[in-house]
Amino acid sequence: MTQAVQSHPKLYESQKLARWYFVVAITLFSAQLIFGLIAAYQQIDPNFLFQLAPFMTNRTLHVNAMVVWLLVGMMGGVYWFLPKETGREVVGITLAKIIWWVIVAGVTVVVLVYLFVQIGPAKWTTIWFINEGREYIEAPRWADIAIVLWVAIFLFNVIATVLKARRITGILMVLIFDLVALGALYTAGMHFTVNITMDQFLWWWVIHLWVEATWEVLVGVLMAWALMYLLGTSRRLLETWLFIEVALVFGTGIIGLGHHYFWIGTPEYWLGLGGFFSALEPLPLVAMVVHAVYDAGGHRLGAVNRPAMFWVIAQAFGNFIGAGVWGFMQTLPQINMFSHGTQLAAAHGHLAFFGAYLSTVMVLVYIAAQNLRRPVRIPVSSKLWGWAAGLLILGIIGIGGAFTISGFTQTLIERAAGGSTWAAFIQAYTHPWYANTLWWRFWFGMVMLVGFVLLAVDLLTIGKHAELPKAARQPAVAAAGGGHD
Amino acid sequence: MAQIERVEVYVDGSPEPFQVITQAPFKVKLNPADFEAGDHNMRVVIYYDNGEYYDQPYLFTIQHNNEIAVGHINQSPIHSPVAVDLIDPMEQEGLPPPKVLTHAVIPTLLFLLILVVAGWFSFYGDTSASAEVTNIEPIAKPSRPEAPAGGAVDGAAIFAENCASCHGPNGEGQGDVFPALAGNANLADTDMVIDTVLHGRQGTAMVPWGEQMNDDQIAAVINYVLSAWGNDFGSVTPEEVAAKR
Repeated sequence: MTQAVQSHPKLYESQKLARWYFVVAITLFSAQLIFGLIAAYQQIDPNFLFQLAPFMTNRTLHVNAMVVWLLVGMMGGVYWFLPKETGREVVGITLAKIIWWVIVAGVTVVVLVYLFVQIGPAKWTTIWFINEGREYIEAPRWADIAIVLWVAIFLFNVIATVLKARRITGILMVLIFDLVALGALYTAGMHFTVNITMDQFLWWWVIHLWVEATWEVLVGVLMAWALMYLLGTSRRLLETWLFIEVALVFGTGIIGLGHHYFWIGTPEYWLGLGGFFSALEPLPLVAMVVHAVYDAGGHRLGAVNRPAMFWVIAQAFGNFIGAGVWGFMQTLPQINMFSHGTQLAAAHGHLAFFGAYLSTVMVLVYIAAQNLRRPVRIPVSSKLWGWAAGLLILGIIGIGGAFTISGFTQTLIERAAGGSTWAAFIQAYTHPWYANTLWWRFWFGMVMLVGFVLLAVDLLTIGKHAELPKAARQPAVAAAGGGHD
Repeated sequence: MAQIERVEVYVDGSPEPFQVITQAPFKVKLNPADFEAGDHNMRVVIYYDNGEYYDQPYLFTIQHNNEIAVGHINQSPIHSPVAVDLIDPMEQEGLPPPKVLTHAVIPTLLFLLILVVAGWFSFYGDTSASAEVTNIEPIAKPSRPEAPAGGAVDGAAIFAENCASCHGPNGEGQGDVFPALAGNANLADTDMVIDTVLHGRQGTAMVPWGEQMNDDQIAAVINYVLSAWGNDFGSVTPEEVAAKR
């Protein structure tokens, strides 16, 4: 029998690096779930692990693990698609590998410090080496600098590859400028001032502009590549939509940031500006839904990878519902007056990150899984992926719903009816709608954990036992080959 | 090792090959504009120099929307030694090469500029901010209630000042979080009561008061709680409190 072909799909070095990005991303996803579950249980029984792992440490790990794994997953997606887009190996791949292992080591150290040191005295050494103390971006200063350096090398990889390949596309151009913003806005989280208003003013640049604007654009870039791969959508159509989305994301989002400036001591004009522009913020998300439905309908869903295509659709709707609807629900000043800082924000956070970013990373890992092992049958599918996706989505809907009900209870009983008094606080927190939903969060979190286990098993096995129909067992089948692309 | 020497592409059952490739690289590139909209089937036959050949079936779909023809491969064999691709219409027109200024120099400078601004702000931002806030008057430290020298300590006043905000002005408590003290049978265990007031109670909202009050004050407030609102749970002495510190 002739063996004229290679026995494994040929991967670019950059795609092999992307594989590590995806492995670490999925591992950190499990950490996010476990610390989230511990934190959820501590809400029910505050004595659980009382002095070993305080709630604040678990929440920090829950949120930080999420930010890192989603970013890692999306950057892995860029390393995956970049050589396909430019038609050559990524330039500076050795540098990219070095900084990647530095980041992995750094994340490990930061997690260990969070777990075993937790907090330090109010000194500069604490900010630099233990915990910066700002909610959600607690990473110590040295880790912040490492992250900026990482994005800088990433930017260099993209620009150098574009120049060397002598090929630029609209998607690549958006990516280059988005990476500038991705590195730049993260630095806004590193300014320590004693003025709490200034501190919060800049803090929101990271939480809102970095995560909500530059990440959304990165998602647009990755989704464009994914749709081209999955459906064969034309580049002209994708780039047109991408430009519209970028214009809308930045056009509404930069001043829409004002909705975070309502109650932190900024001038009053932010009420009007923030209210108006943040009301427009769901527009780019609507555009993305229309785009996805248009494409999928046009191609009659004939995707080459069923789980990835499913997550593309889940992303379009999840992004719109989680980020758009749940965000808009509390963004107008008149509502936000009563709802800010309640669990409604947590509901929005959970649904939006799941819809916008988790779904995107799922698309990417399934596309990679299709190409990592022996080439698999097209369209790629498995028995497990539907269960994994279904349980993860059921879990997040349950958690989001529970947070929404507790947030509604707080907004109505503690804020609107009780006027934010101490007695009203107690009344809201002991109200059955609040107390019972603590259990819902925990059990739906367990559902997500089961979904995660199925997802991990599925990613490790998809395509491994691809059963071939008898008719396909022709001589060609015996030779392992280069796959679809 | 056998080499590919010829690839023939047949579309929609036609006996004539649609495309024949006789030179490396053996990549099948199809232009979607060459086909009608709809599903098409294709056979790619690969001939090797040792006389073997493989016949591989594909299925692809073509669409003509908005004067753009695009195609997409729906089914391909599991293993294929040649790559089969449908060319994107924009690629056929050719893309302009990157401009060094727009695509490399400007983004790099922008990135460096922001790093410089961020670095400057990290070093000088905190000092400028602390200059801004100097007009805020420091909050006066609350004065600690001192025990009147030699006189009796007013347990009711201490309770009203320190305890009533959680346990209620009449010891009625609040919900499940702050237990009622009026009529609470657990108060009969006076050792437990002294411990709780002195050291707080782990895992609850009850904080320790031992650091902030002397033995007389703690005994007074406990005696008030043990006897107020119809309670009758005995009394404690400052010496008992001191023994539990």
